[in-house]
Amino acid sequence: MSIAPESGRLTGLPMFNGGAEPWPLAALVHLQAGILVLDAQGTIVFVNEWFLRRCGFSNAALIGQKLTEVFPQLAGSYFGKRLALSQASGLPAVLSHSLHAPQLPLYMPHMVGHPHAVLSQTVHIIPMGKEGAAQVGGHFTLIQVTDVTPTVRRESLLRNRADQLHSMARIDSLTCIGNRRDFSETLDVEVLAAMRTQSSLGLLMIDIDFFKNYNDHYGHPAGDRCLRDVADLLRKVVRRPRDRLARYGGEEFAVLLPGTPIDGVVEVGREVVQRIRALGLPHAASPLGGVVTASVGAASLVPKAAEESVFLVRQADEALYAAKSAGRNRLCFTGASQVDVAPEPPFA
Amino acid sequence: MKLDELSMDALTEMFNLGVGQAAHAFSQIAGDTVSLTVPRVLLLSRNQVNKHMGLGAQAAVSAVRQQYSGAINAEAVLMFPAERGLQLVQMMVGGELPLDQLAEMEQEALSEIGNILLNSVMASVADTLKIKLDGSLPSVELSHVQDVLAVDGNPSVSVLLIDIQFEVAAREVQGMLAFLLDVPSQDMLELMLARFLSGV
Repeated sequence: MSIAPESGRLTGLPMFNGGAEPWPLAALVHLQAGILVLDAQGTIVFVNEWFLRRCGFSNAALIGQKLTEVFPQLAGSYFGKRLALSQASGLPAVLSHSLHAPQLPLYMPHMVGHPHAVLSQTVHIIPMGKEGAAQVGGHFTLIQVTDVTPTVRRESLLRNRADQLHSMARIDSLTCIGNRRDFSETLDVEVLAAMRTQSSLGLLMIDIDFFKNYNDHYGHPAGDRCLRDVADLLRKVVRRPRDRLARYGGEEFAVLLPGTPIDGVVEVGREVVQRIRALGLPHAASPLGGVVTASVGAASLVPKAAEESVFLVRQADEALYAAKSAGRNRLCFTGASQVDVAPEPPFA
Repeated sequence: MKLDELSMDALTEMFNLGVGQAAHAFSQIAGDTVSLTVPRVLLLSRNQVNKHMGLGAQAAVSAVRQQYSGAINAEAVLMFPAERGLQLVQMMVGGELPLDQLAEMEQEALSEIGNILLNSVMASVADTLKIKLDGSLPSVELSHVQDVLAVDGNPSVSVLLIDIQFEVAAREVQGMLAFLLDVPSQDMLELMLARFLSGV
């Protein structure tokens, strides 16, 4: 940005208001960015239309005034300090919208003064070099303001959209709980956290008994309803903020329980078995008392390496398999090395 | 260009003074103490940069560039490892925003950080040597050290390399400042340093 001071046009500043418009100044007046020019004393000698419409003052109210008289809030502000530094050193400055709250009291046109209408702005402070300024008899500082509000808004819109897509990619559309991907990512994070704090990470694997029979007998829409009912129930059982419930596979659910040693995991697992049974969802095709039941495998460990996430899943899987082998509708858990069966009454 | 030990010391002191002023401005932005330290200043010819930096010369960097003209013509560049630029911005805005939310803001924020630092350092040199400099506005580049410093370019250009370390709330980012000087500017700088040291 330069006003070609060597052409001597800058001396024509007062001329502009007199009606004799040198064309570079006329162009600046209509520029779609804010322009404000200060002389060596900090007096406003030029301001363009764009700036006027967004600050709420008339040309007459600004010209000949000190910047800090019109905008007292700028005295001692970050902008004020950078301006003073720039004028003293003769070196230009950038004030990005990213690092600061808006610097100048500029608003969306027609909403001047409205606190929600303040423009996000990038400000350039450009002292017009000593040679150029000398030619026109002094020092001038150009303050250029770019409105980045639309950019900022677009950024936040795109970010929200991205967040939305990201979370959608992790949610199971049928049950509205986390999906397998969500489970895997959370598991990795929690294993690292447990390693750091040397705390137990618990895991439950939950499988609805004879679910294939259920689908065959009642049809898939009913099967979907059953999965939703079970997911809703699990949501009630899994309550602590960091606990994570996910749909692991077709009729299989997983629950991560950070900071929970095996006895705590077993306790939650038993509650799951009992409460699914207590739901009393009819299951005429199940040999286990005519209601929907589940088998649960429980495991817990204090991980020493990130790879132990695989080991934790395998332990819970083995316990689940043991629960099924032992007759379903019950919980099994892995102790130190072998699978201990904690028998449940087949039907309470 | 060759500078004796006294001249290098004087330059290092001017750089430190400028960097101190920049740290003050950064602390105001960050709302937390930002400390900047200059562990060392090196003077190399342009084609020595490659040899000196080894593999580092191929490292991807975010660079902020400004030109200065007047008694001395210098091209000043602030460089960070490309992946650390974002972290620096995060440190400046308080560190609560996650990195991915800052990505869009990075360039502009870096240009301001570079602008403050380069201007502070150049102003400190200009003040001490009592010269007047004009400067350009900053531009941001994502490139490699050897391209940013154009190590294949005119070999008579000297490069002042300054390691710089940003520290905010126990987090650190290492960067590098480079000042590229053409031959007349090297002569002028030597002369002015000699004058300054002899107290003329």
